[in-house]
Amino acid sequence: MSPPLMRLRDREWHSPASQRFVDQGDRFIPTRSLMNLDFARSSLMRQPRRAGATVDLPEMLTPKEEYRRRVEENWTLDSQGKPLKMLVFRGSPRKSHPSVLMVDEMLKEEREPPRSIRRIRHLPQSADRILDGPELIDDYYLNLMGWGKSNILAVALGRSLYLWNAAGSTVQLLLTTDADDHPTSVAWSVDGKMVAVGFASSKVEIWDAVALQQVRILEGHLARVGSLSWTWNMLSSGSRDASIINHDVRSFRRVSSKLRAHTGEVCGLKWSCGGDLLASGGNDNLVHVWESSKMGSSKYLHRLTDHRAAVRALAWCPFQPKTLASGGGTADQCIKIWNAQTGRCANSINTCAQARRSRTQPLGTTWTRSKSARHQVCALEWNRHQKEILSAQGYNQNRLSLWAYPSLAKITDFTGHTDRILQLSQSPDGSTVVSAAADETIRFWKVFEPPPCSPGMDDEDRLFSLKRMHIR
Amino acid sequence: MGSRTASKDIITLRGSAAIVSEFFGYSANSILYNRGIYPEESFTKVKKYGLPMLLTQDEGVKSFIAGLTSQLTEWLEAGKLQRVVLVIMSKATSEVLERWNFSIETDAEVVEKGVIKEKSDKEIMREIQAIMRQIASSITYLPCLDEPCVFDVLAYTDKDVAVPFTWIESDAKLIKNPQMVKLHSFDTKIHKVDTLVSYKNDDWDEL
Repeated sequence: MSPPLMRLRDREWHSPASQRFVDQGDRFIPTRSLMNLDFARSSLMRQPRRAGATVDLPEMLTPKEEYRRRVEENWTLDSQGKPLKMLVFRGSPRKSHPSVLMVDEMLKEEREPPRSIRRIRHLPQSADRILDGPELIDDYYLNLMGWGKSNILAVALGRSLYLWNAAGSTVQLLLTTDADDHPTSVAWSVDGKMVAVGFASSKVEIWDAVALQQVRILEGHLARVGSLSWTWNMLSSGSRDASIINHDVRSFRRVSSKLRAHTGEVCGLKWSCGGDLLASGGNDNLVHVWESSKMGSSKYLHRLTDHRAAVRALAWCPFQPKTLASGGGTADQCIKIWNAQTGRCANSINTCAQARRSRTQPLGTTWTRSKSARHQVCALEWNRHQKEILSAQGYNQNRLSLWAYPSLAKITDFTGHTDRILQLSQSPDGSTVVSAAADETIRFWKVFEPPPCSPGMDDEDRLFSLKRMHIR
Repeated sequence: MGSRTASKDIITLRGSAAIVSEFFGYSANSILYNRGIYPEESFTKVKKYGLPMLLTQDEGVKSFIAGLTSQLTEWLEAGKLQRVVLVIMSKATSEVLERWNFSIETDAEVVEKGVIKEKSDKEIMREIQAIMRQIASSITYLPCLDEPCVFDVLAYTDKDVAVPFTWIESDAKLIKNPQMVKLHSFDTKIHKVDTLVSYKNDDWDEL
């Protein structure tokens, strides 16, 4: 039994007058306007002219597939078969949600002249301010500093935790531990009212920074708590026992979930700005990305293995969603940018190589590759107002480096510290960074430009008035 | 009766372009309301096309649609616009869930020679009204959008169109294996607009 289409053609061949009716009557055409009947007819007419009566069956799609293919082609071709241009509208922001696309940034840059012409940005040569930080523990794995939204800098020195009010430059002692214990991590809550402190004795305490009172004690870890990160309702703590515990601070049920995936101390922990992803870096050279909705099981979303040393520096990009930057320790020295959606490394830069290049040019001397030059990246901070990222390095370099994004070309270095930098924090208005180093000083650097809008607005408003594009 | 032979009104290219982009603005609002992209409380009723049409009061969305329709008008007057698509995507996964496709056929003679056409305004209104009714009733067969969604508007133009500042080149944002439903079309004699909605197959259907 010959297929129905072949029969059609025979009929056409013999009675061209009734061709039109034969064509359209024999097949079900759901939507006439979508079918290109001229094309269909011509392709049918073409068949008999080929040598041999047998049809190339593999080439012929079933009517359903052909219809689908025609429809899909129709999306991109107009009635004359010419390709169309497809444009998507990127007008004014549609909803107050801080979510921006990189491609909009490029569009904005095309339209406006580069910032350097409009407004000369002065990058400071030295620290804006230096504070004394005696007894700062010289340990790469601890996160002893945090700058809260209420503009208070919390720093753990030795066995005590101090609160430094940036507005009034006043210092307050929050707590002092016993002789056998000391704070090992500090993190401010999102609203800046509470500060969580992790201790070497494996407990985590939450303190009310306004009333200077202890609010909670959270247990669960078996070794020192070296990293903490807050999101709206949860506090995540990472410990030397290689586990991460999520505490829901709203409910009385203390431990919300426990994540076991690392095999070394969890020294880096960061929640994304939107609170949906958690990045954790460990002494096992791994970075895990976890989803907040899947915290019940210990199933991570991504496991990033590119680093070759402990990963303590983690930072989520504030202007590009699902972009994570991570920095490796001494044996690795790299800053890597990851796409948290696909889990792939988008870019990687070796902080060591860059430094050497910038030195040879002005001096003109030849540099031999010295094995002792090490750059452990201890912290990363993104510039919220421009596409830049700042890294803090230790060991021989002892400086902050500013890199452009996404090219990761070095813009400049900030020197001043005389020993390795251990801690880095950003001010709530995103204009200043503070670094604490093993030389027992705390230095403030005005590296990021101050926000151009009026200081009355909060962070979110500022973000999308600067970048006026598709914000949903 | 004289009213049977409906009195024809004069339609110019500009007038037709205005009708089409206005139609697009109202139908975009209607789709946003009916599909629940934005909360119902943020819409107010206005009378248009003889129906109570819902318009958003959200400043952001309003200015977005206003900017968009002004550009569409410009393209329609130049006869360069082929298609406008309103794409509804899941906010979480950016997967395209629905595609509201408005294909536009322009009478090239009018664009080139500035010929004037005649058609009763009422007739056009009635045709648009039918489409609006269909959009509203589409919720009966379109799958539920349970998750928060966002929308995008794509414009298919001729290749020689200069890309304006507020638009960027994009891909077609197609749905794999979509279900398609064709709605009514309307014709101003200068522009003919076909409406089609394609949506992602709801898993429930495959029984």
